[in-house]
Amino acid sequence: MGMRLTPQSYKKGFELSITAPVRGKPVLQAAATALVGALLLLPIVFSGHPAVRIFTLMYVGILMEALPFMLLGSCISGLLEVYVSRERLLAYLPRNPIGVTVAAAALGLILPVCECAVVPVVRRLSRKGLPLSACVAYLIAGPIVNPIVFFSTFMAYRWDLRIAMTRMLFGFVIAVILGLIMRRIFKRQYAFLEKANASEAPVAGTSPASPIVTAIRHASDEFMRMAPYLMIGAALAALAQTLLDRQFLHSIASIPIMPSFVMMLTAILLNLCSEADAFIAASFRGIIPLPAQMTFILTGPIVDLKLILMYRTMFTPKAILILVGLSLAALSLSVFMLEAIGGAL
Amino acid sequence: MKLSSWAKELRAFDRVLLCFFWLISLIGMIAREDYTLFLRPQLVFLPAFSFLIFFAFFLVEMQRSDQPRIEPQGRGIRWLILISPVLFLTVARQATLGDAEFDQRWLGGEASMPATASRPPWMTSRSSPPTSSHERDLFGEIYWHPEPYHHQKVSVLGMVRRLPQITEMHGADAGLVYRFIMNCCVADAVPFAILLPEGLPPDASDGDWIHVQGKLIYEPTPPFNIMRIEGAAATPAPTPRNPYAF
Repeated sequence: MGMRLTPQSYKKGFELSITAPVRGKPVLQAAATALVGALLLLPIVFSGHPAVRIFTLMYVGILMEALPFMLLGSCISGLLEVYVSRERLLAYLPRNPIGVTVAAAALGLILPVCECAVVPVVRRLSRKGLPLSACVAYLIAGPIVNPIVFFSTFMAYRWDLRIAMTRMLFGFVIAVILGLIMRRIFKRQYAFLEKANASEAPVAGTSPASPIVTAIRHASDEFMRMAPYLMIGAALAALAQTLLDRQFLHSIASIPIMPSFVMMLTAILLNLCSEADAFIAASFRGIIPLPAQMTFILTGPIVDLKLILMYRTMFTPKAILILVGLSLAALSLSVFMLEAIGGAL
Repeated sequence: MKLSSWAKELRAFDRVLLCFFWLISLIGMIAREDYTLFLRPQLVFLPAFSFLIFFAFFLVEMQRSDQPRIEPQGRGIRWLILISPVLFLTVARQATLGDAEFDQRWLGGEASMPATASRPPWMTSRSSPPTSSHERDLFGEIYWHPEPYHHQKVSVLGMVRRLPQITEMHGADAGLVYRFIMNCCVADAVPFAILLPEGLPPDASDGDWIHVQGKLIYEPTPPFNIMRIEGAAATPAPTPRNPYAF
């Protein structure tokens, strides 16, 4: 038996409905589990191969950095669930759609989280009734428009305020625009998965517990639900880190515009944390033009492999497709704008 | 007890077991400082924070291990994916970035240089060269704050990389001594190389660890716009426990 919210119950205020979630046959599930198990054993069996070792090093390294932030996001999500009621949240939000979107895009300034932590927080906020435009705005701006990322960019770029400010500004504007566009597109249909709005495990309501224990249970559920997507994304990122030859960037540096698009692709593949990516971008100084470096630090927090996978826990496939497509279009536009103002930076 | 009963019992504790394995791995990494193979030492609070949260998860999951799970689909796969970092840890601990990754990541020139042009005032005091000893490995210090070491005698520990262009330009005993500088985690580590125009031991091959002493010159030397050590005296050195500079 599976418990989840229907759109109707979601609107009424989260009354649980019971549906039959049986999908897939047990034999197929067992075969798939065995296949995944076998795949996971490969790096151990072939641990003598240098590339396999580097893959595992990158994989564990990325997760060592990303998991604490996802745990933090899950804890914030659990606390939001227990301590912030839907009514209270809605009471604080501006009524105006543009106002709420702008406010959400700036939320990172007081709730600074990186892209790994932002997804569980937004999942919970969406359950609490935060509008889609605001969810998208915070999802995109949260990992860019926040003081930690500002400081890391500021430091990586030789204490150059213009670079850090440009990153914040572009991140903010892209987030607001995408939030409003997504609101318009999904005015009459659901962008959120029903599952994302449901309790997926026997959490708080099943037995009496103190609020903090209930919050931790919610956090645990959130983490167990989200973390596999982060880990698959980290594995893809580790694979890209193992195989991607950065010297390739040398060969395309002289072609106009091309470095920016290559850096966009690189950011999508590398899946770096928004709090560290500025250091990598800065290491391309003298090799890649500044607009391309800016594109790199703008793209990573908005679209990367692990984020796309993590979106699957929250959005419908159609919404993911549109969000990623719009993000890429907005980033491409930003490339041209950055190229145009490049001399001023 | 039947196998299915065992499986059912085990399923009830799947999250507890997961948290337990994570806890053991994290405490081991913190106690043995193995996390520095993946993260900057200053970021010890990250695995420590993870440990605390997993411990809290472990406690609450123990309390509800007897309750039925609502959505069992793909539980086995999810569990395997969630345990994969612990599985890979044994292999990952033996891996370090080396020559192949140097070739893959080194962009040469300006890219090897750190952000140092206008440091804030609170970092100035840390950037004065050491006066008591030149034996200390200064690779990380030089990367972050090279100016104070210009024309100073320095001591660095790094790996050898011989490149044909450098050999052609400077001679057979010229090469690079390099290390990977970790900003946050190993995924963002960038190679930082110092040119040795002379003094590289003839029997030192790529990837060997050497200890180099000499005078650091912090000036552009096109086309290799990197720092160099003049009058270098290089001797073989054992592989350090942690190969990264921070």
